[in-house]
Amino acid sequence: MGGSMGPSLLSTQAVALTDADLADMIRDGRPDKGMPALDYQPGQIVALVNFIRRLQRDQGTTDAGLPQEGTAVAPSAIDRGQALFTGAARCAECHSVNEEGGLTAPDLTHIADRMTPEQLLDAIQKPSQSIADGYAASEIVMRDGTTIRGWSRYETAATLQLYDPQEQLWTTYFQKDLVQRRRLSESLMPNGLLDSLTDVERNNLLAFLASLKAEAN
Amino acid sequence: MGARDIRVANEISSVRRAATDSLTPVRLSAVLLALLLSGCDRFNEAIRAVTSAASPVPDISNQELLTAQQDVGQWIHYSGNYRGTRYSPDTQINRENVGGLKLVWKYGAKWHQAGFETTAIAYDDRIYITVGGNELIRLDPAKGTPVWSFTAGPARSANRGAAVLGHRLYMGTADARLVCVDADSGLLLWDRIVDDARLGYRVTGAPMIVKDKVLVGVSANGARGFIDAYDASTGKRAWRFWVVPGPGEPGSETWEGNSMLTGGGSAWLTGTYDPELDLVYWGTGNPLPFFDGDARKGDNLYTNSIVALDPDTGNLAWHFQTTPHDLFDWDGVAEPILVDETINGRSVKAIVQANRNGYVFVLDRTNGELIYATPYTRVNWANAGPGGKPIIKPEIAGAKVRQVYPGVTGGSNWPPKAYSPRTHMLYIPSMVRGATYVSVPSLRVRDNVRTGGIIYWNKEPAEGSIEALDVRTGGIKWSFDTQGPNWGGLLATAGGLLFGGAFDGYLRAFNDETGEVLWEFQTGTGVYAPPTTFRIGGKQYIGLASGYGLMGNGSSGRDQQRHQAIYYLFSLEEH
Repeated sequence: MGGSMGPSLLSTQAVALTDADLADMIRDGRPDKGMPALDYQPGQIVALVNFIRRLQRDQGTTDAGLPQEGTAVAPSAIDRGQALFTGAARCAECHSVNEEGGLTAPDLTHIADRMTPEQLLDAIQKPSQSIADGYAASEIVMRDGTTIRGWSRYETAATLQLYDPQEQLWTTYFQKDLVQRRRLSESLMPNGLLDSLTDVERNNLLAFLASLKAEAN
Repeated sequence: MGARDIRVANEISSVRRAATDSLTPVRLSAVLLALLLSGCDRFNEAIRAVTSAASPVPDISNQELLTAQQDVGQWIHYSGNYRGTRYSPDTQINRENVGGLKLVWKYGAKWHQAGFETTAIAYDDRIYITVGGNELIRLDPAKGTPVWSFTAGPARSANRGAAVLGHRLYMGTADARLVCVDADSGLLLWDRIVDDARLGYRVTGAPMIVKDKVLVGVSANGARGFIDAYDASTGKRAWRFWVVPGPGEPGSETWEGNSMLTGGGSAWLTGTYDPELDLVYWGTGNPLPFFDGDARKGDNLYTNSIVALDPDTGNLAWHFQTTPHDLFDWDGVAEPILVDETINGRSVKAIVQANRNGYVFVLDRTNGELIYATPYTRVNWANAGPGGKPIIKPEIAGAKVRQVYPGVTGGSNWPPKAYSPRTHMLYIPSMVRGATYVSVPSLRVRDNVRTGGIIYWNKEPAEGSIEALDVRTGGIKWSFDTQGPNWGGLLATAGGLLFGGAFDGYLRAFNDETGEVLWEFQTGTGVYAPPTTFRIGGKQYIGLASGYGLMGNGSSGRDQQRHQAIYYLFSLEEH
């Protein structure tokens, strides 16, 4: 869509711009790159910014793909991804970064040292494909028929601890009190976490996660 | 500490050394096999042995908790009983024979900078101490050696003791968890996050059992304080009482704007309970920022208050604020002690609290009305307000530089008081050192905690004493100079005795009516914990944790006390 002279308004770089940056660019132009200053009223500029944002949301992106290893990503994309992490994407309800966030799922402070953006996306889209050590879920059935699910830890021949994330509570169960025990192949991390996000938002979130490297902290 | 540290915090108990000759075969196998034979069938058997109904472990029932004040045998509450009196009816050790009290053994624990503050839980043939906010140790009374020790994780802090119900022990941790372990084996039964330690929360006070619930208050360190109740068997949360109300809630009108949201209000000691009125009483901490009142105009409820709560729901029945709009870090967390006395010719169900602000408050515990307030130490900050309630002098409240007695550690800090129904006296570990407070609104401890000022201690070093106050009249009957600020708690007994350790390192036994010293023992460093008493095999013992903390050292203006954490046990016969 559109001309080929200027860069795409749907690129990662364009998505990463703040609204204020975008507004400034529309008003002042980029004379060095051949884009003229456009003499719009402030209200018109706001409307244009909103329009571009809607395009970015509605159209998704063809070229604003996943952040590539070793390629710089605009800081504002990372900031937006962080806002999603702690906000709409609900990651921080369970995961922590730099000592902020939930305590019930693996800490992601240096996750980019261990996983590429592709692997991260895969892990979010298919939570059960690979489950971090200590976060495998179990289901047990007690003698009284009660069924309990939770993360398990410190299993011995005699005991098993399960974690209830709602209560933030580990409870020890004795194997002798169980009539059934099975390790669940599915993760307790919900499926479809990305469904409510646009592709651009998804990429921003991945840009944030990909920035979580030890040297960056 | 990091989230990862919390997760890897290992709860598996370890046996440092099993005192073999004091253990039954069942206990020995449970303890050793748990460690050595993990994964084997015999381990299964061991676990079954310690968790089955046929276990030889005596359970502590709710009935025993209710009648503990008449019980000479056990020490099963932080404060000895629900009334918070730290009074034992035992007379085996008394004024006539206390001079023959001898050291039985001492046990060296790991020192922590906060000091060694534990109150031991003791019954049957077992003594349980907590160390450094992460360790719960079962000691063998015959040897003074650990039967097992349970480590809750790497984070460390102050800790003042455990609670017991049935066969379960409960301990708060330095990283704001509450753990429940099997009293016999030390095996973890449940482990829950009370709140996020990264926000500043810790649980340093001993939990309290009321009916089927475990109650804990938090040390909030800048976060918003609360008192929680958990189901004692499952660990699920039953209720939470926020010390500082949220916007729009009752009490929020005593905070300007939204200042309540950063308003503090810890509740870091243990409460008391009146089963007849079915009310729990808890002392609450100071508002934040500590010294900049302009940032939180108003009375700042329910900080520095005694709150009366319904133990089933956590609903507030009444409150009494001891220091409205505190400017001096006088958190009013001291235990509200329940006494039945005749005061001004009227028989009253009363609460008596020796508050950090230098006053003793006596309230009607049915409704929170003030009966009287009287200073027990040097104070200069208040005028008598309505009903005799101390009200801050306007010239001090309005100043930016405030010279005040008591200083920031208060006239008496957390160390427990004792009350004897025999003498009608409240015994208070007290200290005297004034300070100058300078309001500097921008000062912070860290990002989310504003101190709002600087404190300069007076040049004179801190003095200290035990003050014996007649609750019926408010008069001081005797006092004893402890040669430095008194951070040692107290114990009264029906043997006509008061026990207390102090800054000078001595544990002493006093005549409870006169303050005459009848016996003393040098522990090697300042005492930072209360003595307790209990019987093992029919014989009365006195137990004491000795180990000074940095708070006491830093505020004393005197030579620093040695670092040690030693638990001492005394009895009338040498071993």
